[in-house]
Amino acid sequence: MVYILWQATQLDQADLIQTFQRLKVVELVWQTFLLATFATAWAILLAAPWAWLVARTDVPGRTFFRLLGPLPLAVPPYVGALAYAALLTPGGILHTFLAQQAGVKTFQHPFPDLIHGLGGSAFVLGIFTSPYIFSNIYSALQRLDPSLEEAARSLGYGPWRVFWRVTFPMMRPALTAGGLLVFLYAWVDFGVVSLLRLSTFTTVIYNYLLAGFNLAASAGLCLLLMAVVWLVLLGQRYALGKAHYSQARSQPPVIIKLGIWRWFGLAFLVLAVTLTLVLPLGVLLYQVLRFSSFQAFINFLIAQLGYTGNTLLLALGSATLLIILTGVVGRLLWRKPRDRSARFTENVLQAGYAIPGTVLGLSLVGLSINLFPALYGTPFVVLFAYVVLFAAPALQSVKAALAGISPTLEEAAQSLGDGPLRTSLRVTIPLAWPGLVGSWLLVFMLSLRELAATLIVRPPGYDTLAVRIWVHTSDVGPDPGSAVVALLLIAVAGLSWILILFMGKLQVRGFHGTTRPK
Amino acid sequence: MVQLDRNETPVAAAVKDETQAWSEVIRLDNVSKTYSGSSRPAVDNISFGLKSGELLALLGPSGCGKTTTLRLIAGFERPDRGQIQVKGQPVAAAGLSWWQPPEKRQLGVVFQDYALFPHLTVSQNIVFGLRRVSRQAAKERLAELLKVTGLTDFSHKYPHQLSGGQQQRVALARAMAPRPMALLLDEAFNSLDTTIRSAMHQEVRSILKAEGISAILVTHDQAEAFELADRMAVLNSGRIEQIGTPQGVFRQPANHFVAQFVGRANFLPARLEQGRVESELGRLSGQINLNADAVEAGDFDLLLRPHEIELFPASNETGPVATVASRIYAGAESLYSVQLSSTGQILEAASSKDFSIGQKVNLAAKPDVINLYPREAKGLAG
Repeated sequence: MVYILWQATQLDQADLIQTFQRLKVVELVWQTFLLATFATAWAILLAAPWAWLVARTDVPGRTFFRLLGPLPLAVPPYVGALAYAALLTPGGILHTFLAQQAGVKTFQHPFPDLIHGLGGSAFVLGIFTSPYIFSNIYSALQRLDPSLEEAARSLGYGPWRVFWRVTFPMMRPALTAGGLLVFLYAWVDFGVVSLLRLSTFTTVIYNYLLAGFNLAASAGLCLLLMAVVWLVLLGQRYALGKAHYSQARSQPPVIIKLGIWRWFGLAFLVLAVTLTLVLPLGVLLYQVLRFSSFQAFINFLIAQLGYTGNTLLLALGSATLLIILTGVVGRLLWRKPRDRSARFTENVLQAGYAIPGTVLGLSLVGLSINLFPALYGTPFVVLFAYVVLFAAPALQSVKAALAGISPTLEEAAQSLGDGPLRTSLRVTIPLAWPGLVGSWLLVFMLSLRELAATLIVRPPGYDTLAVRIWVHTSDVGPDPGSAVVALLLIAVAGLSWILILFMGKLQVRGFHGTTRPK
Repeated sequence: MVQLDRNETPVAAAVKDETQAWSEVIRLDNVSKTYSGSSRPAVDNISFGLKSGELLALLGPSGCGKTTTLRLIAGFERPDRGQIQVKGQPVAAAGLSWWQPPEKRQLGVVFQDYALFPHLTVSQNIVFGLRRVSRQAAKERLAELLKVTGLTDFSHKYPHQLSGGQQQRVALARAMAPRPMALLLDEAFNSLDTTIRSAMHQEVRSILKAEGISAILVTHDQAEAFELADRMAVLNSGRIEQIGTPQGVFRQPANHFVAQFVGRANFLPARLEQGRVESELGRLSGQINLNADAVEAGDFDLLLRPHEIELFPASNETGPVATVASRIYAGAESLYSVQLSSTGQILEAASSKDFSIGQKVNLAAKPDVINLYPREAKGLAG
């Protein structure tokens, strides 16, 4: 951050304005804004009815669709972009299929480019960020006290008016929170827009950096992007600070009987699942089948081994580093919530969440060149980028893991003669174990799929799977090769998901109730 | 070293002098603590000592600083000012910024929520603090404590499989296992049912006395302090209002607050002149305890406990007369609210006799000790 500020001041003002004019910054802001708005609207359109249908109605298969809700998150958006590009690009799967049906060659019947540009980017981003909205609304619907709706009914409101006058207003904070997450994601996304050839802040910053133009101009752009991000985050705090409804849920929610409409609900859910999961994964699998031979497929896989190793090593490193770092900070916040230095550290760590990967990558390149030349071009810079980027979610998760444990347990151990380290080993870590494993895996997963910062700060040749997908697709197009790497990445991520679920079920023996007598 | 408080009574001072003669396990001198973000000190210039083998109760309403005091002694908080000693060794001295962490202080703590380790069995909980002793010695100590606390049959159970009273005994055994210098009990009986609470008081007291352990007990329940403690310190807004034996504090409370906190209290306007006390209930004679700076004569508040006011069916028109306003049955005795005909003041009186509401009664004051306090407007309502 500080480095970027310093870089930007190196640029004299007239020069900056000139550069910004050349880059058509106003247009860039407008374009990115449109992208974020469309993506958010599209994500809400997909996820809000999905959440409502599985939470509050008797739609067929609601449990099945409820479990599928958060799953698109396992597919990194740039993988989604790759899949949809393979499907919809001129000369792609759909075009070829249609041409074959008509008995003509693809070049004889031009196909509109549906996927590249603003529309396609918003389409893909919306789909693969929709789980943010789904999870927010679903849990809000679960928490909603049904007696509120019953009260409205008893006051003479019909079901439709109850929905608009009670249910919907109560959902608004969740909708706002989820929507802002998607909106923010679209502003800082690099993978999708770069693959779908849309110019936004992040791609311009990247191209500018790649072309070897002065760092200062990119730093200026970075500052502008950061300003937008901070503005959105401020808006989020403001919006959520003002509208915060919390109710204790006393009864299970009332299930609305949809009657004949339940089949329309089912049709919607099938369509949504097709768009978010079936189509992209199907395309990837289909691409793999298009490999010239099984031998070629195996050879290609073997060629990816080194990249898989890099990816795993980096993810393992950042997850372990962060669990230790946030474990120490989280424990301090848990024991002494009002401690000034702990809260300051928390705020610093949270700030990393607001730095887009591209911006962080840029500043780390500059920083390591100027201050730590020995580190420049080593994997440690990548590791450091991950630590900064994922400290906020890691700390959040560690805090949640500790929140269920009474701090007096640590005090008890201390009063019995255990120092802080021994107390952690004998009491806190055994009790928080499942939650801590979950936090570790969360960072692990996030690190696996990180693209923008890795792309910028990685040492030459030290590619991760995410970088391979991107480079391969950028160079060759959405061909079978990138699909294989994408599936490999999803498989590694999926395995961690299974581990999370498995670990979540692990409980320390004999530890079910609370110690506090009721 | 001893600083006389503003409200120091002759009795309290005497107790303090006596304190000096004993060996003290824990000693606090002028300790203060203000939490960050709070303008009012949680603990304000507190000094007291815990004698060897003694059970001392810190009694006060919630937010009076009693738990903070305990946490300061245990080492979970650092004092801003003052010094804390354990067995004559300073463990926290704000001026020298000397501070010993809780694990070095050898003080056992019984927490309000017991803080039993949920992932360990009863036995594992109890031996948790026995790290530096041999396996054999730990085993012997465990068997001994299981026997004392009557938990032998539960040694392999987990905390959540135990009742509240059993959990409390585990917490007690765990805290006593390493033979601490002293035991600190933080509202340790709070989460027990009232029915078993009294039984636990007796049980804990006998266990502590049998082990010869000195202890500080924090509580907001004056009945608990009376039942358990050898001495009690009454705290209010971070200050010690009075320290003494339960009997001494009850019979001769240092001020209005203490009088009302340790029991029901009426305050009647009274006048002291030439060693005689005049009030609406007539002239009183007996031992006078004047809780004020040396004043020979003047207007005071007279403390009368409900049991110190006797009620008779009205027969004597010249004596003090009152009307029965309400009645609360409390077993053998009833608690009556009566309104004085002369001043309209409402008094609470305990009596085993039957009176009906609206009935005229005569009153007589029979205080054990005549406690007089400076006049306080709000004290008039009793």
